[in-house]
Amino acid sequence: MTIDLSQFHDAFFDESFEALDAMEAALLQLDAGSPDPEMINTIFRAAHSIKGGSATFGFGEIASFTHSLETLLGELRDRRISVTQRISDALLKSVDVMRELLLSAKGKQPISMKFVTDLQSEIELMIEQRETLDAPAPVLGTVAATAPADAVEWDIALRPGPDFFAQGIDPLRIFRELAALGALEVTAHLDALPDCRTLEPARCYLRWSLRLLSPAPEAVVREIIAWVNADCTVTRAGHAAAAHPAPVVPAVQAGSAAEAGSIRVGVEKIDELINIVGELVITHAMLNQTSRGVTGPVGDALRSGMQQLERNMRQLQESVLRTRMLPISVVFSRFPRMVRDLAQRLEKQIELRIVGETTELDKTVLEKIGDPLVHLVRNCVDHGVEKSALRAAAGKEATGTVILKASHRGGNVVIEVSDDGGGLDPERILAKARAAGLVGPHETLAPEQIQELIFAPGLSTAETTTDVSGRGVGMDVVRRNIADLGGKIEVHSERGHGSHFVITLPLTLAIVDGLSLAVGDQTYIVPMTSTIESLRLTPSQVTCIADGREVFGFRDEYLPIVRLYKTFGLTPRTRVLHEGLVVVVEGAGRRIGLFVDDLLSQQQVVIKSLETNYGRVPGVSAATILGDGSVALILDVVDLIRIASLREAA
Amino acid sequence: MTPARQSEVIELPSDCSLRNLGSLRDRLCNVAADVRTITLDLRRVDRFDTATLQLIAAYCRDRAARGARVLTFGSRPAWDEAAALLGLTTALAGGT
Repeated sequence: MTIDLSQFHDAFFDESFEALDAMEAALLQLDAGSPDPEMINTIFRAAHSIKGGSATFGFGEIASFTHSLETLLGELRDRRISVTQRISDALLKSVDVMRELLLSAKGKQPISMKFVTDLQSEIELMIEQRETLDAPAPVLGTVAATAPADAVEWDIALRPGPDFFAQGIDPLRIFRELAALGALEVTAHLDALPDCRTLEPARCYLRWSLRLLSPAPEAVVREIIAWVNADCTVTRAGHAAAAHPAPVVPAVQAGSAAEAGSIRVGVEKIDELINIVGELVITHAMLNQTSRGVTGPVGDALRSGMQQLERNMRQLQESVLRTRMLPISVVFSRFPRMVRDLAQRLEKQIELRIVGETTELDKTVLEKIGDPLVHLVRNCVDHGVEKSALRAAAGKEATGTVILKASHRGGNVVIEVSDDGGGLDPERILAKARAAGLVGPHETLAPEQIQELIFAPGLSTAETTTDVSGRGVGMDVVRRNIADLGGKIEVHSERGHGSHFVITLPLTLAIVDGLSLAVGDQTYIVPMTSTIESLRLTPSQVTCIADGREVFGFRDEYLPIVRLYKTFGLTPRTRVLHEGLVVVVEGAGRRIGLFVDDLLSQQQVVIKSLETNYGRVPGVSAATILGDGSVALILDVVDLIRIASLREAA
Repeated sequence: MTPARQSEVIELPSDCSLRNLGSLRDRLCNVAADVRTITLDLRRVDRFDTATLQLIAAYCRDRAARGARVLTFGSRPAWDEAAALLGLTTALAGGT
C-alpha cells in the first residue's frame, strides 16, 4: 500500500518552523568560545529533525543543506571545531536559508539557489578546513583493532532507492557516523552500476552491506540510520533480518507531539467550538431571563440550576477561549535575532531584555501584533538607543537596553516596549508638525500632546532616513493596527532618558468587556478599553460652535459631542443634553463625547461578525446577542471619531 | 595514420558534487577509447560526495574492461577515506 505523504506536509512544515525558532533562540544564546554543550545539542536536534523530515518527504534541497549544517553542528558538539563569531554568524544565516527553503517548499514556489549553495559551500569549507588541519587517518574498510570486549556485531543492509542522492542524502556521512561507533566493514555492491556513458549521476545504483562491531547501544546505531529514507535493515550478526527491521521513521513523527502530551488541532475546529459556546452563553442568558418569571418551588429550583449552569458555562467558555491562547514568546522570539542584526549593522551595543514571554494572548491578536511590535522595536534600536560614544558622553552605560515586556492587567494584555536612549525631542517634533501643517504656527501644546504627534500620518522625527526606519510612515499605521485589534497605544518619553510605549490589548477577539448604552429603543456596546468616563453635562459646560457643532470642556481640552441617535438615525428618549449622558471615549489618540440616553450595565459580550453575517456599517465593528435575544451593535470608536473628524473638516 | 595516445590527464574541478557531475561524466567519456592510461588529477578537488565516487567507480570499471588503467594524482586523505568508508577502494583502483 502506498501512503500519500503529502497529507503530512502541513505537520512537517509546522514542526520544522517551530524547530527553526528553537534553533534560532538557542543560537542567540550560544557563547563563542565557551558554548553550552546542551545548547549545541538543542540546535543539533532541531537540524536533525528537519533533515529527517525533509528527506522523508522528498525535499532534497532542504535535506542536502541541513545535512551539511548538521555535520558542522556535529563537529561543534564533539568539540572538533570551536564556536567562533564566523561560525555563529553562518549558523544564524543557515536558519534564514532553511526558513526560505521551507517557505519555498510549502508555497511550491521556486527559489534562487545561489544564496543556498553559497552558504552551504561556506559551511562545507569550515568542515573541510578542520579536516585539512586535523586530517584523520584514512578509515579503512575494516577497523577492528580497538573494539572492546563488550562490543556487539551489527549487520546493516542499505538498499537505497534511485532518488537517494537527489533527496540530499549522502551515505558517506552516515557511514562516517557509524565508523565513529566502532569497527566498520563496508562492502559496496556494484552489480546495478550501468555503463558510465548511460549513468545518470543523480541516480543511486549502489547497495551496501555493513558490519559494525561496536559497544554502542542499539538505539544509537538505529538513530544514525533512522532518518534514511531507504530500504535499510539492522540486525545483530547471526539473527534473522526480519526479526529487527530498521524503523524508517521520519524524525518529524519520531519526536511527535503525543510524547509531549499535546495534539495539533486545526484553528477552524477551535473557532467552531468557540462559536458554539458563544451561542450557549446567549441561550443561557435568554433562559435566565425567562426563569425570572417562574415562581414557587419550581422557580427556585430552576434559578438554582441556572446559577450552577452559569458557573459551568463560564468555566467552559474560559477553557475553550484558552485553547486559542498562545504565549507571546511566539512573537517575542523573533526579536533577539532582529535586535542583534540591527545593532551590528548600526554599530551599536544593545542588550534586549524580554520579560513575561509566557503571557498568553489570543492567536489572532498575536498574529496581528507582530508587525507593530517589529516597527516599535526597530525604532528603539535605530532612533532610540544612541551609539556607545554618544552614550558615554552622556554619562550612560556603553550598552543600551531595549526592554520588551508583557503582562496581564485586568482583562487585558499589556505589552511595553521601552529603551534607555535619547528619548523623543519635543522641539523637533513640534517643528516638524508645524512644517507639515499639523499644528498651527501659534498653537501651544502640552508635552503629552506633542508626544502624541508621533502617531500622526506622515510625520517622521528621525534626523536621517535609514533603510531600517524613519520614512515617515509607520507610527500611524501602528496605532491603527492596534486599534483594529480593540487595543490602544500610549507613549511616554523623557528627553535623554528614553521612550516607553504601552500597548493595551484585549485578551481575545471572541468576547469583549463592554459598557451597554441605551439610545432610543436600541442598545449599543462600547468596549471598556475605549471608555474614559461618563458624565452628565450641565448647559453651561456646552459650547455651540459653527454649523451647530457642540463641544464641551473635559480635562483642559474641548471635545466634540457626537449624538449617537443622529449617527444611527434613531428617535431618542431625549434630545436635551443634560437629560441624557455623555460617555467620553478615546481612539487613535483622540477623544469625543458620545451623547446617549442612558447607561445600562457593564458586561462581557460574545462578538459576532457583522460583516460576515450582514455587511459593513459605519461606526460599528461587530454585533452581539443580548440575554433577551435582541441584537446589540458594538461601536467602532476609531471609526466614530473618523466620522466626527470628517464632519468637522466639512 | 594517427598514433594511439598513450595517456591523458583529466583535471577534476574543485566542486565535484552532484550538481556538476553531468559535465564531468561527459568529459570522462570523451577520452578516446584507445588511451591506455587516464590520470585523474584530484589536486583541485574541494567538494565531492558519494555520487562522485559512484561515477568514478563506473568509469574505472569500464576502462579496466577495455584494458586501460585509471590512476589518480594528488590523492587526498579525504578522498581515500571516503573510498574506504564506501567500500569502493578496490573499485576505484580499477578492480570490481
